[in-house]
Amino acid sequence: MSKKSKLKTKHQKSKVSAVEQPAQLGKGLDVGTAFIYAAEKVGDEIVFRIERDAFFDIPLSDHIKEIFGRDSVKYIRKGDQLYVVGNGALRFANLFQRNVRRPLERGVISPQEKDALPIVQLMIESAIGSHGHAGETVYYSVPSQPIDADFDVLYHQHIISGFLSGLGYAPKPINEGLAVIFSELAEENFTGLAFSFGGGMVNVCLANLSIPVVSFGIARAGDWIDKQVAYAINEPISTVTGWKESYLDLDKRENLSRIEQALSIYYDILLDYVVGHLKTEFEKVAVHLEKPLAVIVSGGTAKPNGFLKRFQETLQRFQLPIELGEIRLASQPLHSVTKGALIAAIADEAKKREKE
Amino acid sequence: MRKISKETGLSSDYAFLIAKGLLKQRLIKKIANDVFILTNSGRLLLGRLRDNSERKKVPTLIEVSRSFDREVEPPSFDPEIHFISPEAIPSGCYGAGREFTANQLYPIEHNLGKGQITEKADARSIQKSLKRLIFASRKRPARNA
Repeated sequence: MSKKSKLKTKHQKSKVSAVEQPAQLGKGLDVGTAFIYAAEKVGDEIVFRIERDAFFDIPLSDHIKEIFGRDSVKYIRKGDQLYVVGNGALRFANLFQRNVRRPLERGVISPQEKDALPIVQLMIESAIGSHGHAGETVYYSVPSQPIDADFDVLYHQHIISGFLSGLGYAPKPINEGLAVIFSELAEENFTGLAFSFGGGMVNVCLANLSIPVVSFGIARAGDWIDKQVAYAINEPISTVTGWKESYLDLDKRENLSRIEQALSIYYDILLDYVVGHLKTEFEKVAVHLEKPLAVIVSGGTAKPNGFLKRFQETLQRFQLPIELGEIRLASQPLHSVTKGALIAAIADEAKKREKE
Repeated sequence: MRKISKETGLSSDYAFLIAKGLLKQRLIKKIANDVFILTNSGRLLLGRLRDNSERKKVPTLIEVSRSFDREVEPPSFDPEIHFISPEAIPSGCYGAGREFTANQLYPIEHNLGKGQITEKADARSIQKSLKRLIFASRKRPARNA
């Protein structure tokens, strides 16, 4: 065979394989208060499908569906009501100076938004897609039991499980903090302290060789900050959320605008609150460690520039009863939980195949 | 109702669900006025409504005969809402006057489709975790003395 035809054959092969690469079995799902993330492994890549966990209701009118279709605005029509979902919801909310509706609150299905269950179901279905085979494993994140609020996560867990079973998957829950440990602490043999600063909750998990030793949730996180700041400066919550996600720099200490100052203050209050609770929980459990504990921080609320430095300063100030090692931000703070769930799912599928 | 409100933390807004598994397990008898209440805090109560003939405008939960708390994990159930006996559930009685019926409006149209891929990452970032998890699950062969 000539060199030219060999090269051509090689090119054709790689072109074909890129198009036809099947996804590896096993998926990860993070149903968060702020965003829904789904992940699967396709060839050498992990692909994420992300949707903002929000909707905005507007009355149905003529032509609006066509306009939405042209502008790629995602919507759900329920009776005579139209709901813009995802990122479009935030845009409309800012336009109308109103707040979006959130199907999840403080990390779990919102008791105030039970009517939104079908919307959540569709959004999850859109994110996760159809299964590779019946009974494909999907690990979905569940928050830890909150220590500062009186609700449990069982209802939320079963609702999500029901949705996924209905789609033909074999759903398995994974603690959100533990998922971060799976994603980020392989070098440390899945031993360390993980924080997931989400929208509705902060999830904390101390694991030793992948076994959770201490895990709890705190029902204050990014949404709480947005709400407090919005009230303090008399702006819609959606406006604060949008600004925070785009512009906030916690390293900036001078010449702060009203919104920057308010966000800075409430971030400090949140960090004090979280670390204070952490100290109390550690004092209850009396954890003994052989070496300093690696700390990993993840979640959208931890993304702003300067967050990690403030968190480190807070930890030092509180003088926890355990020795902490390196404190670092996850390589992809928004995706750690989903990646951890994906890892658990792929490992599960591999074990299933070995048994067959 | 005061007892129920105190126990559940609910005032006027609650949802009714049938937990089919509980029926199958014969944990309850299928009586016309048996209802399940899923509280806002996620507890599952089995109760009984006042008899049809006595009921006036507002249904009254006169008895809570079982409470399924965390120690008893409820069976998985379809998130759709159903009733054992529709005539036991009057209309317009819950909070804002919503009716929970088997014909609750569900989305009839949407353009969500399959979600678009919004981001990608190198799969090498999870390889180490995968290897350690999969390797850890395999049994090591016994060494010869």
